[in-house]
Amino acid sequence: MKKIFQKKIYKIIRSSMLAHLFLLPVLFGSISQAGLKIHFPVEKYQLSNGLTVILSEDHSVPMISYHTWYRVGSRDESPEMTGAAHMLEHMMFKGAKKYSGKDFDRILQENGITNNAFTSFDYTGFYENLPSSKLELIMDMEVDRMRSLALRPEDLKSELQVVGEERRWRVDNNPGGLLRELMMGTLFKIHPYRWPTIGFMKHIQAYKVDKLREFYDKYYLPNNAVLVIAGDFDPSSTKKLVEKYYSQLPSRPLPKRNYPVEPDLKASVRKTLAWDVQSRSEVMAFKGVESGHADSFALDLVAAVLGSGVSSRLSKKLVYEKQIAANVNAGNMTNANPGAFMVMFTMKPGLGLAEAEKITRSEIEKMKTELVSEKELQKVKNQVMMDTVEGLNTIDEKAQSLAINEILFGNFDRLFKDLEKYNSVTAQDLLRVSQKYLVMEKMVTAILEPKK
Amino acid sequence: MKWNSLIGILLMIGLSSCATSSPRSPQAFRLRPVEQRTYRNGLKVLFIPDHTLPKISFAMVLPSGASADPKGEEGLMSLMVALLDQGAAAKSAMQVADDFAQLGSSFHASVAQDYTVLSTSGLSQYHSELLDLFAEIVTKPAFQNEEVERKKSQFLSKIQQLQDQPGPYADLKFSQELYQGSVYGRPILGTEATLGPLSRTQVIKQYFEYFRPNNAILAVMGDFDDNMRADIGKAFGGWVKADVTPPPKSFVQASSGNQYKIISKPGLKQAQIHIGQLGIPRNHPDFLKLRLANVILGGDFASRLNQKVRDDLGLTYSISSQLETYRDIGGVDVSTFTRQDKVAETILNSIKVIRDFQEKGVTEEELASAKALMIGQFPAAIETVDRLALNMMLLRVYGVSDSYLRDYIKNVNAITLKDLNETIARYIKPDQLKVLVYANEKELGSQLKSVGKFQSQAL
Repeated sequence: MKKIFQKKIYKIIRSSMLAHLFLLPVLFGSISQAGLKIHFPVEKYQLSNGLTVILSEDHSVPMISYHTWYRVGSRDESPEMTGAAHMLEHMMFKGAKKYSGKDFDRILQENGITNNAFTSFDYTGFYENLPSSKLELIMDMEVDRMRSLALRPEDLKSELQVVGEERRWRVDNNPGGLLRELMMGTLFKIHPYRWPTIGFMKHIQAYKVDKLREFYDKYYLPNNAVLVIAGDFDPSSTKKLVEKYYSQLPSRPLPKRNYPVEPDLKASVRKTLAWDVQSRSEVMAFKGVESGHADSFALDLVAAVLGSGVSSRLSKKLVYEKQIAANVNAGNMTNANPGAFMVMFTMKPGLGLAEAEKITRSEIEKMKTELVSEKELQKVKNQVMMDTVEGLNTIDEKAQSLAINEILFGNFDRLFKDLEKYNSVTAQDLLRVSQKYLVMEKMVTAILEPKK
Repeated sequence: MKWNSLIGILLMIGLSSCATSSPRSPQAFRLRPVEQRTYRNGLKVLFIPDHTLPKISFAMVLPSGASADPKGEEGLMSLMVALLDQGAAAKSAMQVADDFAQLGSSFHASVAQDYTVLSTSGLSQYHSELLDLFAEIVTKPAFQNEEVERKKSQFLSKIQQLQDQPGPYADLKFSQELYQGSVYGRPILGTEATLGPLSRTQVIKQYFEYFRPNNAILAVMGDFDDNMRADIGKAFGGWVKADVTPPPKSFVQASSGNQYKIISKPGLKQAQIHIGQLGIPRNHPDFLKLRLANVILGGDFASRLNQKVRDDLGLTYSISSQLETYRDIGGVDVSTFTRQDKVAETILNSIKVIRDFQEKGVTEEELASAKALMIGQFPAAIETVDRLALNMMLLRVYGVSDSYLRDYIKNVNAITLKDLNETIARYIKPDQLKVLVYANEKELGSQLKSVGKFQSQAL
């Protein structure tokens, strides 16, 4: 498998002198649902500068997974500078006061450490997987780039070419990326989710250091970050290290963030893009809900019934019985702000979309008029349980699962509690949310088709 | 379980596991205990318990892959393997799909050139249902005629649609170029011409030829108890052994001089580039040294290729070199992508890095750094029972002893600068490269002339 290097960024910050540790009780994350028992130690506390720290001890291998996530993503950008959060993530690898750009990669490798980062609509995350003995080194390096990022114009000049190539790779030369961009840009007209996280090419080519620095100063703060350390460490000495390195970082008030509320579509919209492709693809999308919304659990299960795996309703109809589609999927994309419920399919080469669209509409209607059987409901609940377990295989996956719950909900424990919510969803709930959200009159259809 | 992605994880192994309460060094950790037993019908089974999650996995590796396809029947192994879960015992394809899904699980199968991996994982409360289903699929596939035709049609679509995915399409075309003339130069999925005539009879013949218990290794991983040994005997006991013919050896002649080819497709907005050469097979004694060399050439962010082509020149978002090793042959594949006006510059700079690497070798500092990375990340390669099992099974495919894992750290540490530079000088061949570009040729202008004489092919 090819290794794709996704350079991304990170940071951390803030502080007041000797920070006090606001200790919360030691928690044991645990799930005990429908025969499923998962139990591992998690401890969360906050430094006085607002940095949230989550520790999860696990000595199965002599390694540590070190995650630093910030509550900043592409939704925090202005429409005139899309992709800034992602660009800044790249620049986090270009050096800071103590560790220069070239030093960064070199030192990590010399110490047996791998690393990467990612940016989403709502957050930016950086992580390293390191031998246990390298914990202090990583803290020093992370604090350095959190507090005093270099952001040199000459580095930006070459890195914006790199990001330009990344955009071509993800979007401009990638039919799936193009279709997604078309769909999101049509479904969202006001909210920043309307532009892609990687940004538009015209903005990528025009980033300036001063604007990126403003962004950095505004959001890369300890009171806007979550630090997760999972793996083979000693909690007591680790807490001392965290305090030693991070408490020196000053906190600052975060900007007030008012994200516009996306109004409902007044009518359905259909957009088509002709491209050099072999097959037609279509996304049918509806405005959805935010992560943690009471209806999000039922909507996830609706998506699973419709399009998760070969036993889903749409896969059986379109791929197996009718043999017209190459693949079909459904997904409930929840973000910090309301996201989208989507059904996507790609036809076999040469076939039109009409029959697949008709069948999909009819299956969606069925979700609104007929109760799902208890057996089918249990099936999709089991799939959710399995996904949760699969998300905890490695220390890195554990750290990610804890970080995303803490970032989105301010509470990592959602990782464990959400299964109860899935388990209490009823067939009636699936019917109700299908009626409420999957409204054909407010649907966006985005199509990619071969050029004539 | 993400077996497909696991295959990408370095074939390392090693150590570890007994829980202690304080941080340890990689050197201090030991291989997790694995019990191996062979059943009466020749089926080898690895039992690797782990009760930290309520999860159980079954995985089977057979040392037979696409390279075993008869000439002219390319795609047969992939087709047969894709049909395993399309009906088994008395169940239809959709019943099998429903049965897996009801347990929150699914079945995965993938065919590589030298081996096939089948796997499933699920909540351990359903271990016995999952085992029965897995065994049914593996030992009693139905291969109904209509399923054969349905799957063939899906394969044909997939082959045609691949050209819309520039990265995977270029990967496939480059393998064909690099290993041309050997079984490794054939597409794993086959072609329109070879798939079309394949029949149910050929599928069944291929199954009985290779899917035998004495040609398989099964791993049971996760949260199971002592009864599992008997359960495995029951589930697979009826599977009948038979002699399996090992595939014939397959080699490739190295090219003389560099060879250049461009495949052109209108509408492409970016160029995919591969630069590669022949290398060594997996069981070669210099494998570990060449792996170490590859880390320095293009294995990580700090590698020479990444530092030069991405970080200094901003020509790409990703460049890496990959050591490919098969049963009989192998290669080194440098892959990247760039904007279409920078293709020549990217190729020339990459070849320059390769040439310097071969001519001047590496420094003591680079050696120490690459060793640190390989050793530091080694525990991650065997962190989970799934990863450990896959590593152990693939070592068996290639006839490499488990000591590869046990002694991995010691052996990496023992490589000297002299060893490494001799290895690089011997195996890296900057004058026997094959270069492939997948781009919209019209957008390239005359820049390729500065690289060499390109053979041009339209899609």
